[in-house]
Amino acid sequence: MRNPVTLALAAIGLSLSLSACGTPTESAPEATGSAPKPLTATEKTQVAKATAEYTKYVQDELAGLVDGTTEFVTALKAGDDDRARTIYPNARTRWERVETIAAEFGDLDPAIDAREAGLGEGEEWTGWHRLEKDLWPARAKNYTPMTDAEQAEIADKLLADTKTIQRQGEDLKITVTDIVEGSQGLLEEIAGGKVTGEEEYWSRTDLWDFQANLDGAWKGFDLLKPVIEGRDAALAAKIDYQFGVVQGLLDATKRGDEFVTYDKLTRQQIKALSDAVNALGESLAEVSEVL
Amino acid sequence: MTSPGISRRAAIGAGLAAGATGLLVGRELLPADQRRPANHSLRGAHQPGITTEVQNHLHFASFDVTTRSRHDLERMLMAWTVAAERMMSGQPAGPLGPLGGRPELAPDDTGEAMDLDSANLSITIGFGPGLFRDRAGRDRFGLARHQPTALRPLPRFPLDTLTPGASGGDLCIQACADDPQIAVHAVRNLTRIGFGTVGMRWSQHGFGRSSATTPGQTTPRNLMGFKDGTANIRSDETEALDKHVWVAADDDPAGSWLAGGSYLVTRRAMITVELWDRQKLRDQEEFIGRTKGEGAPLTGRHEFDEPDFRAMAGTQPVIPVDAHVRVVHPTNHGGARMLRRGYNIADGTNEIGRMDAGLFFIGFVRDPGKQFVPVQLAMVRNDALMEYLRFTQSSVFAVPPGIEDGQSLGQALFARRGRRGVAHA
Repeated sequence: MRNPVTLALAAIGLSLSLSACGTPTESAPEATGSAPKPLTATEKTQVAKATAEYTKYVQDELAGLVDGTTEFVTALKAGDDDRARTIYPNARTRWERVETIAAEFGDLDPAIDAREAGLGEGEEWTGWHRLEKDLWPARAKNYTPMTDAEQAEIADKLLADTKTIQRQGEDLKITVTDIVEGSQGLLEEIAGGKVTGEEEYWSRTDLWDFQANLDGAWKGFDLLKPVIEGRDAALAAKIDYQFGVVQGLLDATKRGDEFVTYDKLTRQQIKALSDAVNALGESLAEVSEVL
Repeated sequence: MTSPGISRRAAIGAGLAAGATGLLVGRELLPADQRRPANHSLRGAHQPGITTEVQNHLHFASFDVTTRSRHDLERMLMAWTVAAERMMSGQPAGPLGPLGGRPELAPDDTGEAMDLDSANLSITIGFGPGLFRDRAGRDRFGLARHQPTALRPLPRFPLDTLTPGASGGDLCIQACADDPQIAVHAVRNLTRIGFGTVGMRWSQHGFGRSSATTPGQTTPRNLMGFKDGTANIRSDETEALDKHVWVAADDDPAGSWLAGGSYLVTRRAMITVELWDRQKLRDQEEFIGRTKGEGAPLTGRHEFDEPDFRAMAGTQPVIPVDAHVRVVHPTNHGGARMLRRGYNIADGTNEIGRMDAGLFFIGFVRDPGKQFVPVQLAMVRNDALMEYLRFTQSSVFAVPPGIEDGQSLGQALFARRGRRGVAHA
């Protein structure tokens, strides 16, 4: 989208931008409603570097995901539920950093990451959240724990599906649009499911996912920043700042090095996070205007 | 994942805060032939939505300022001014509109006002005490020395059962229109423009005006079934408006920027309608002090007859001592009057299945401490109606005057340079 503030100011013939030293300067507004200019030769080099690095980032995360999932499944099948509960949010971090890209690969996202509330009548429920409920049944009513065999079946399928996704990612071709839309999508994930505490309904470990989504979006932005800065320095500075604001609020929720569970957040903390995510989401949407 | 260090963030914040102000906004916004006649405008001596004829629907929203940058705040008020003027003239919030941008981008207007006219939309913007000082009393944006003495949070009144987080605010928008969709559209688009600078704290819909502000307007009824606001100050009472509504230049040395503006007080009064509806008609009329049909005082025959508080029926006054009209009447408050612009509300059902309905009181006064607080105190202490009311919301805002061409809303305040820079909050 075009940010309405930018537009409103463009409409009156002025806009503000920040030069490198942070001094505001007035600059002529760009034409509204027009498509972004094609990439210059320099920008093409910058973009090629960004897409290559982002591809590697996704592949590294998926490799890490396979390791984490293996560890999780091993603990689960050994009957070490405490260990499985400790591994759970950290292993999922690797998924949540790249989930919007990984979800594009095929039809494995629902098998790996479906939430119970999202299931249709009679649909089979597999993946992380099925096991999450079994490990944290406190909020479930009349819950019958899975047998070891049921649990092992779900766990094995999760690991197999994860390995499939990782293999599919080996010949990944990422475009600049994938990065931009992937980052925007990760912000939507935060705004839609994490800041509301819906994603990790049973374990309440939403803030781990929140951080991971933010990591993935930030990575994408950082890689494209040279190009965005060249086209709209003020936008790049604003997004940089807003990532910092969200991270600052997120850091403030930690006790020691660990996030607290979602139920420990105050209403004010949730609202502040939600406001900051809305702001960053609007700004990331603006990247589509320049790239 | 790396995160920007404090120094980098602070540097950007400082850069933003040192920004320019007073950029031009105005009629050059649209080519003359594309402009439709505006029903309401922020330009003029006063903002619209005060003495202008009350529309049928309200969407009121209160915001927290989330930025520390005065520059961002000024920039947003500028953008609000532009978008508000556009929407009041029936235009989309942004220049491209719901369909005019590239399909790869989100539109700059949300679109639900397409095919509708401006429906008499008025947008009124106010500044809360929190814009000037934070809860610890610290200066937020270099504005503290311009905080008018009268702009302070309302006291907690006896019997208040305020909903946590749903009172007060740093900024407010009152959007009134004859079509509820238009009022909602205005608040929604201004909220979106404000992301990153403000976040909504609470909002309120109102569906039926419960007052009249112009001489021709009939007095509407509230959800108790009674005419409400018979004694309201009307738009043609110039002298009364100057005396009771508009802030004068010499009212407060700190608040001279507010000259021509006013104070907006909101109180959300829930009516326990299930209880009220079981009251005998005679009792209802005695609680109010007026007849239910005509709205005449119990001592008179016509709506606009002056109540006679001394009239006796045997040993009892005709208008009981705890009748609403007596308790809040100007003659019992040193002549203090208000301009009322409230709305009926029905927000669904509460947790025990009762209607969550009542009145969203909006009153405009020249000094809330003198004209509103004493009247409200008298009401909660002595008014028979209190048996059927619960106040769940309480706020006060300063509503700056209208603007001139080329100004943005609140410019009279922001142009007064205080200490510049990032606030120390």
